[in-house]
Amino acid sequence: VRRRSKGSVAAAALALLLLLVVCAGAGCSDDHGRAAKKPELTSQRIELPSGQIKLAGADVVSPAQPLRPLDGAVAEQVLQSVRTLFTAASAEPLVKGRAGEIAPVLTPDALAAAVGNDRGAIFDEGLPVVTRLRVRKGEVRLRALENEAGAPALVVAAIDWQLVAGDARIHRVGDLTLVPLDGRWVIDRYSVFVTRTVKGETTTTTGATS
Amino acid sequence: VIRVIRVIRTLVAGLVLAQLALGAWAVDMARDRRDAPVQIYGVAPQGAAVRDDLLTTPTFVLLVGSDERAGLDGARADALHLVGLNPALGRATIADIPRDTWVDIPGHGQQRINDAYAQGGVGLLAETVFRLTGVRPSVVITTTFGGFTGMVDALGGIDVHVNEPMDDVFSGAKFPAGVVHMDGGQALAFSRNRHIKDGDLVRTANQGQLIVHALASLRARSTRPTDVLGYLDTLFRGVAVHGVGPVDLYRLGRTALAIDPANIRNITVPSEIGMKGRLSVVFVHLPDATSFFQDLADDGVLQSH
Repeated sequence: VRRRSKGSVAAAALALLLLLVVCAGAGCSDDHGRAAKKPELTSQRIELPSGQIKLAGADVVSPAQPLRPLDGAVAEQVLQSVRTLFTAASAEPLVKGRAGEIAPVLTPDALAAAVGNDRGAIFDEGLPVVTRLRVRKGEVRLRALENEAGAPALVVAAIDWQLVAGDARIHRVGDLTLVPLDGRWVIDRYSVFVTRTVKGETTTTTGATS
Repeated sequence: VIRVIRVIRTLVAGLVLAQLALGAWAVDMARDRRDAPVQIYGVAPQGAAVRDDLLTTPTFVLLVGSDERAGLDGARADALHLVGLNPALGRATIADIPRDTWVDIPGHGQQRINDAYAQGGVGLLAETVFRLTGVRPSVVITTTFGGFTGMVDALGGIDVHVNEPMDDVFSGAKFPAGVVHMDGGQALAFSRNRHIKDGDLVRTANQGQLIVHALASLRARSTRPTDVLGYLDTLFRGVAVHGVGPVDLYRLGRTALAIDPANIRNITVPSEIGMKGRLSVVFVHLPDATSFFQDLADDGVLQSH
């Protein structure tokens, strides 16, 4: 009997532990007001929504041949840069309360504009911090342009993202033009249109490089 | 010693002169060869680094429609338009050059301008246009009958305003006055019809109008970068581009589409129809044409015409 009850206690404890872990992973907790108390949990969750920024299509325009699918490795590299922007400019401000580093994925000119005049369009700042960020739509469509040598010279990423962050609904559409720089793909130009609705009040912000 | 120095001087001078003469002869030979590599003067070769000047300074593009098709030797430039783009002002000018314009073709004497393409390809045509206008085109885009109709069809046709009704059996142009949605074949017929009042002069103006309508159609559809790249895919299938690489062409296309069609001036070079012997030709109207070209050359926009 003693053995059984010891085994039952251990099983119950294990079940409780598993439940806690599952709940934490699935975001069972309330969205509001927890971020400030448990910053270490929120920083882990940032990885989850960025993975939901996904390719919806990728093709390449070439002087030599008709439209065809873009090379998978190039598409993946470009997607990583776009995800970095999403994480640093959207997810981190919403979950951590402060923006991340976008410099690695923008050219100097684009960076100056993004952190300057266009900050309101690029960063989701000034909204209530949440512990859970949901990506309702995270589309990225890529269209590349090849040079005469057959190498991709630029890639346009058409984005259409819908986020739910507590009471806030954020819809961001636009085009990011990426160019190769030192083995990476960085955003050289952009045009972004953002609609934010918080408690029934909607604001729109646009930002574009010249 | 003085004699030796004099002899050496004479020899060196002779060598320099001979080299210059050979160089000039080589240039002439290159111009005379239709298949010679195209060198648009004053332009970076294809594949060069991205040219930011295309987006900030006035740029001149020469659009050429040739009658090149199977079974025809020595294609001529049937459509010739010098387009000045001024991104800073958000304005553009399409200077329509009648194909029968009587000009001096370098190395070939006086002939109709469309013969320059037949005799020396794009390079000689661009040089002939420069001699006529004083403007060096940075980019030359050529298309053919097939390329043109394919592009218009790929875009789903274009809406064109027809000023006067047309019913021409030669070109196949049969349109009422007003806005007509044209497919590739119809657009080609419209642009080729010269059996109208003022023949070649109005035909070339109609071609310019077609360009404005095409730009307006594309602009109304979308100017998003991904869509502009889609237009470029269509363009690549129907034209040959000289003077810039694909990236610059894309950026130039975005610049052109950013210009409101209302700010694009379509105008025929001041000229009049005449005869040269038994040939029907077009003479540029001096001195109007001179001031016209000077006005165009400074910023791609006509202020006084």
